[in-house]
Amino acid sequence: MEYSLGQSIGLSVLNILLVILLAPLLEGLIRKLVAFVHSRIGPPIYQPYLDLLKLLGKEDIVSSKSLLFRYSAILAFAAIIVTAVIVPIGARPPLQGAGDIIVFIYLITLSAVMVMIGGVTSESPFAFIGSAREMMMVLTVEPVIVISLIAVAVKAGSMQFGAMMAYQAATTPSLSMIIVAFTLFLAIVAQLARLPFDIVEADQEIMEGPFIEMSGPKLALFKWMFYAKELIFSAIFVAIFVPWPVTPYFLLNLLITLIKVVVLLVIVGVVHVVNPRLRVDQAIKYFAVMIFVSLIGLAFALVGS
Amino acid sequence: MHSTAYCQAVEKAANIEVPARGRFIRTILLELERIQSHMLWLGIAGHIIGFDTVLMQSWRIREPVMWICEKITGNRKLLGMNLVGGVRRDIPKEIHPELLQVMDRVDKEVRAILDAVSTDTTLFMRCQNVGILENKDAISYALLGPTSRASGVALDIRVDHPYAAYPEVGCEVIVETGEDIWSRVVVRIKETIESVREIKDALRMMPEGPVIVVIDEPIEPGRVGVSSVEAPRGETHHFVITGEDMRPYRWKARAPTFQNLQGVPIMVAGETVADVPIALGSLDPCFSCTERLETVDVKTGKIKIYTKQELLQLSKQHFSKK
Repeated sequence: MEYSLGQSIGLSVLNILLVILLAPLLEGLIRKLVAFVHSRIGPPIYQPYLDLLKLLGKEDIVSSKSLLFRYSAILAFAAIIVTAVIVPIGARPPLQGAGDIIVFIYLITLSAVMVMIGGVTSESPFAFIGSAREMMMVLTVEPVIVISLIAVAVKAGSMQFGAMMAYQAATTPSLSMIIVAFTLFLAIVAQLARLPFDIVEADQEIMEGPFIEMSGPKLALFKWMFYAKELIFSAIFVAIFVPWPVTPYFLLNLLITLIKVVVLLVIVGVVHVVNPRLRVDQAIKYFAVMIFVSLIGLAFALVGS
Repeated sequence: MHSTAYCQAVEKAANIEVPARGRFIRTILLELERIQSHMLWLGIAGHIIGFDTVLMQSWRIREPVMWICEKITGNRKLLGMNLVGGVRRDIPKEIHPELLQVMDRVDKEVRAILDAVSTDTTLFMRCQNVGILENKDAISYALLGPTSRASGVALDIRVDHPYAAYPEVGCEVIVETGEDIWSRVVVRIKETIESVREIKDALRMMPEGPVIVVIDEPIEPGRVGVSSVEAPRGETHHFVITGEDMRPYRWKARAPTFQNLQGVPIMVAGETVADVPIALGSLDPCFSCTERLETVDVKTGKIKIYTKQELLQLSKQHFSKK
């Protein structure tokens, strides 16, 4: 089933609006959950919106003359927003002809590279360490995402999220899918910079790393990018690993997806709150093992189980 | 804790005998201070490695201890209870049940924390075999308090040179031999549990009587008193020479952090940036205790040492200008 032009545009707009406007609310939910485990009251659930508004209204202070420093935040944010139109949120991706998992990987890598470049060009030693850590993390975490998604693509016989979703909805979970769901989940925790993989920012060690010189609108965009990533990654995860139940009604599907996204983010939040931060070498060893685990998942997928 | 050390030094100089009840109250307050200090440290250590749940929970446990301190003395911290000759106030009978209740709760919750952190493999990855301080280094650099006790040095003023009510109440020296950050965590948690035991025993054994002795004749000038107290971070020494008009002629306090900081270069040698904050934090450093003043002429680089007369003159000039 292909979308008509009108449907595609409508869905694209909806996805982008969801990612931009709903994502801070999910962050607020996680903060509330973390506060609950800490025995705190926590900030109001709409606090991330206030944070973003406040930061966007501040003066844009720059620490370096580099153009890349000025525009890294915009590019990182834009890359993630573009991702919104090629990922499934409640329905099949709006522009599924335009992009598959390869484009998706490129876009999320682009945002990670922009974080790195923003850090390196900000000329702060803390940012240098943070960017180096980001690079090490990207090099070990992204293979896990790629292999996990390819394992699903092998099973579905297509690299497009829509086809992967339709295939998963029609079958029951198999061994390979459970393995790669596990590895992808851990990779998502790392991608969202949640503990125990909050290594790039590590505010007690390197003072937010690449973001140390970011202030005002630039910081707001980077924060917003992380909120948007939370929604996008969890939407992908629930779309290709727990697509059930699929109803014929679009709004109902969307609602069910959002509930599943919240459940997944609650699990991410629990992992976040019960773990201290790993060192970068420990995290890399951890994900090196995860690469092998996801390769085993891929092997199972290739032999058809 | 510093006030206890100072008062003890003056009492030793002037041969003043503190009444038994006063000594017991001093012990109880010292241990209350140790509990809240160790809980504060545990939270900060958790925060340094990104484990904010430990921070929030241990500070929640700490809070009732502060409240009971406020109830006994009127202050949450810096209790202001010590006077030369005893303590300012008694711990009234009505507060005893509440104090025992708070201690029971602290005991239960600290044990729960010990159980929770002892099974946390991620925490082990960050704390075990990190920031190693070998037994011989701890001895040769003369490190103090929980830092040295975690490296297997059984050093505790409460046992080595008992003061206040420690001869009666007793004190178990907690020693771990892991030599790493994890051992420092365990030593401090176990010391908190031991402190709870000491407070309960002290409260039970506390005799009736006055809490302070009235000093009716002036303390002679020129007498020397030295006293040591086991502070939460290590040993604190106070040295006093009594002077005219019941004032100290000389007074020198040595806090433990300056000594403990000497161990940091060994702990962090060869470690990554990520391990430096927790290695430093594992000492429970008090940086304000390490401040020293030195006057250097910027142009010539010459260091000047002021005499007492010059300092007096400077301060007189300063105030006469106003």
